[in-house]
Amino acid sequence: MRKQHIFLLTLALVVFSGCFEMVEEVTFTDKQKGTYLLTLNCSQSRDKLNGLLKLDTFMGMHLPKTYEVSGELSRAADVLRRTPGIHKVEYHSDFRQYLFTISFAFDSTEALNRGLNAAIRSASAKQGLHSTLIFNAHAQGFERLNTPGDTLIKQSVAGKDLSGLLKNATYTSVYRFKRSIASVSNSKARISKNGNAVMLRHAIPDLLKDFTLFTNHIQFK
Amino acid sequence: MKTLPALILFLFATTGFAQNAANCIPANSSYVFALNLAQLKAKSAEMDYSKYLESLMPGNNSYGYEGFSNALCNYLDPAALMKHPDSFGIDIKSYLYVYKTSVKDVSGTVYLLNLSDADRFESRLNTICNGMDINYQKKSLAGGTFYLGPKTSVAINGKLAIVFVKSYSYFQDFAYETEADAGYDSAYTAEKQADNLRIDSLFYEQLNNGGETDYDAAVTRHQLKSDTSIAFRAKQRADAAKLEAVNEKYRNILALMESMLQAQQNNMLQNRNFAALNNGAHDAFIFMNTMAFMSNEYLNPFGSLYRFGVDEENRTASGKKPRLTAGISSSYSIDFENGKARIEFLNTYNEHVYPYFKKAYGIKQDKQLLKYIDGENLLGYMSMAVSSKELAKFYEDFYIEMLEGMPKRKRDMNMLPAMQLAYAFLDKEMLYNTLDGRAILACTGFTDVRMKFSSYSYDDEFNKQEVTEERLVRQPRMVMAAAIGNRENAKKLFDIIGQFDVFVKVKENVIGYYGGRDVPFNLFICLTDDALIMSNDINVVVNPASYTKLPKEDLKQIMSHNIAMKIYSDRMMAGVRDAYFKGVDTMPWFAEIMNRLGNIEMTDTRPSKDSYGAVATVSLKDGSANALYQLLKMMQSADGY
Repeated sequence: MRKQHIFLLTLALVVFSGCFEMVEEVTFTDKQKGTYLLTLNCSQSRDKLNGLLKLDTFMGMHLPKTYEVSGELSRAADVLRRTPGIHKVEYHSDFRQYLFTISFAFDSTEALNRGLNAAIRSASAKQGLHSTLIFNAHAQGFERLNTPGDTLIKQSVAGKDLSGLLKNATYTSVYRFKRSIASVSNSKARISKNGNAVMLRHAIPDLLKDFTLFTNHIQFK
Repeated sequence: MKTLPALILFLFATTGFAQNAANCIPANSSYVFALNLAQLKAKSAEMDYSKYLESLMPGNNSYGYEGFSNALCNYLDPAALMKHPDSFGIDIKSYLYVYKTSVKDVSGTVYLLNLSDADRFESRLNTICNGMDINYQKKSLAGGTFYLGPKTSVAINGKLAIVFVKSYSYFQDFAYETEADAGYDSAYTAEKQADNLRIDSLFYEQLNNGGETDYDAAVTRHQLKSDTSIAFRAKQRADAAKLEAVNEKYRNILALMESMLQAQQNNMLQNRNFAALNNGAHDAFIFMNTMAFMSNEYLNPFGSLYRFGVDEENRTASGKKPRLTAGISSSYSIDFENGKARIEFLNTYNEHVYPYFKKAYGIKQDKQLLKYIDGENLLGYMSMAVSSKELAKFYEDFYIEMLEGMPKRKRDMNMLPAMQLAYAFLDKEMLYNTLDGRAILACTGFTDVRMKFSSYSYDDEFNKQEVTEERLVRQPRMVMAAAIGNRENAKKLFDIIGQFDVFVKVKENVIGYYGGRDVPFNLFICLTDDALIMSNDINVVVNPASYTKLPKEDLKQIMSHNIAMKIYSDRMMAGVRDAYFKGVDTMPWFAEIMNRLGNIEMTDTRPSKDSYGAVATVSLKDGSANALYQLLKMMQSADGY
């Protein structure tokens, strides 16, 4: 039962840690293929996490043990390895610095969507999440559309004022392409000097209120 | 005068069963845990305390070899028993005792219960498990009714019941679990060989049917085949051996349980320390029979010497009589009063120990240390004044006696002199008197500490690079001031430690360790003329001894006790809230604890000729409600139930 809640458990742990950075990087190596890297960096909060991980529950929520977090990463990696079009899956967990990464190569944007949806579903089996279109690629551009599990995250933090706890938590996305970018729809997004990458950073409390803040339509030249 | 016999009869009638139950506890039990369920029930009001006792319930413990038997059915539902003991016909006004016993090859935990209604208790035993009848053994004998099981057994005799939860270990259950399951015995091998030699045997028939090309391989292969009746007979023998092993196990358990239902000739009540606890009407207590614990080969701390002794190599008994270790025991008792929980610890010993303790505890806290503690911002402290040098003498003699007293194999004989030789070379003055055993550890508010952490920077092309950044982290300001016994040695050690490259020289007499990315704290050490000071706040050590005095009450406690501890919960919780949960509006669990919890204090008592102890109190702000109820309320809110 606890395993089936691991998505929420990990979320709880991250939320209580207060200060953390999530970085999502999608780097296209050609028009279709590329690599995906997700980094969760809680090293700012490691003194808090050291204490929290010794507890079973905190503020009424069960907290995962380190082996559960590692196990879940390993399970997500297994699911990704079994997803067609996904290769070179690697994950890393550092419980001294509280740094966690998972990375893989994908053959197409469809494979990337399939892999991410499968990984999220495996980590939240009981919640029965539906697949969602996270990214969309077409000849003229690239789109970041939805966040998997956004409704579930919203539900789990509903009624809880986490703005104080999470004021220093950020989510950054970086998308790198082999083509030059003409424009981006999200006014907060920045285009790199060489015109081939887009970065978007938001404070987590803002994202928890509105996941569409990450929506971005990128047009190529 | 006529009322006197009636009074005696009344006293006997009201206390008789409790006395009888404790009479059944063998004097050599390694520990006894006692719960007064009626008091706990009354004091907890509508709150459920039983879930916090789950780990103590029959059958709930699972360690190593015990694990496999957890799948077995039990006669009792332990959680239900603890939750509603009176519905099981248990006399909750008497203590429920739990103790550990080990006789020959059977060891386990015993739950000793007084019954108010034996029929009801018997009717609540499970007879069906997983949809099937529990088909273990039931025996009705003159000494009582016994329900025997591989894991949990129950015995009832009049108003007394015991639940015995057998411990499983490789060494004790070797015969039952391993040999009996082996399947093929030597008779099977002999019969098979004889069968192979018969001219019309299956072996010869198959070997000589003309189809074999590799004769040697064929011999090996066909030798394994034999008349099925041989295997059948072997199986029958194995089954019979297994049944006999199981029966023997049940016979041993039955014998043990029969003896446990009787008043023991050497029972625990003869121990004056246990008897005093038992008569103390505590809500709960635990009595640790240290001497028995150490003399039990399966439980003593040096048990590995015995466990590895299954090779049956002869061991030589020392023949030495225990001197310091004789009769030592310790106990904890807890009583929940209105607005206060009181925990008492008592360590009991014999007259040979007292001279050591008298010297070790015959010192007072060093007044000079007090000036290093910030009285104005004090959140909590732990003060200790015990002569390390004198206490070391006791532990040296104590451990030598323990090691001397244990039976040894030939190869263990040199262990003690080797240890003594190594110890003789140690510089005792350096080891025990550099810091002389007087120290105060205190938390004096919160401080901002610069901490390093990993973050990322991005170049113009948004390539990510890991960088190390710093931020201020709020941490409790911890200070430890320790009195110096030998300053020359202290200076020598301080100078040596300061040479390690992890330390930075802050001042002539201050060294500092700055936590890196992997170690989230700073540590500063200062050597003054009269103390060694350690703190995570540089200001404490750079400019020590300029603080407001400690509150008078704390000064008194520190100077009049060898051990004194206090936590100002209100201030501590407020500090934690401000440091870690600033900006968080809704934390009902935290508010619940802050609203209820008062100060936590502990002080020791001076060592007397036969005991040394300490008393801790947890105060609750509401003096009209029982402490157990309030503590359970706090735990409930923290658990989020």
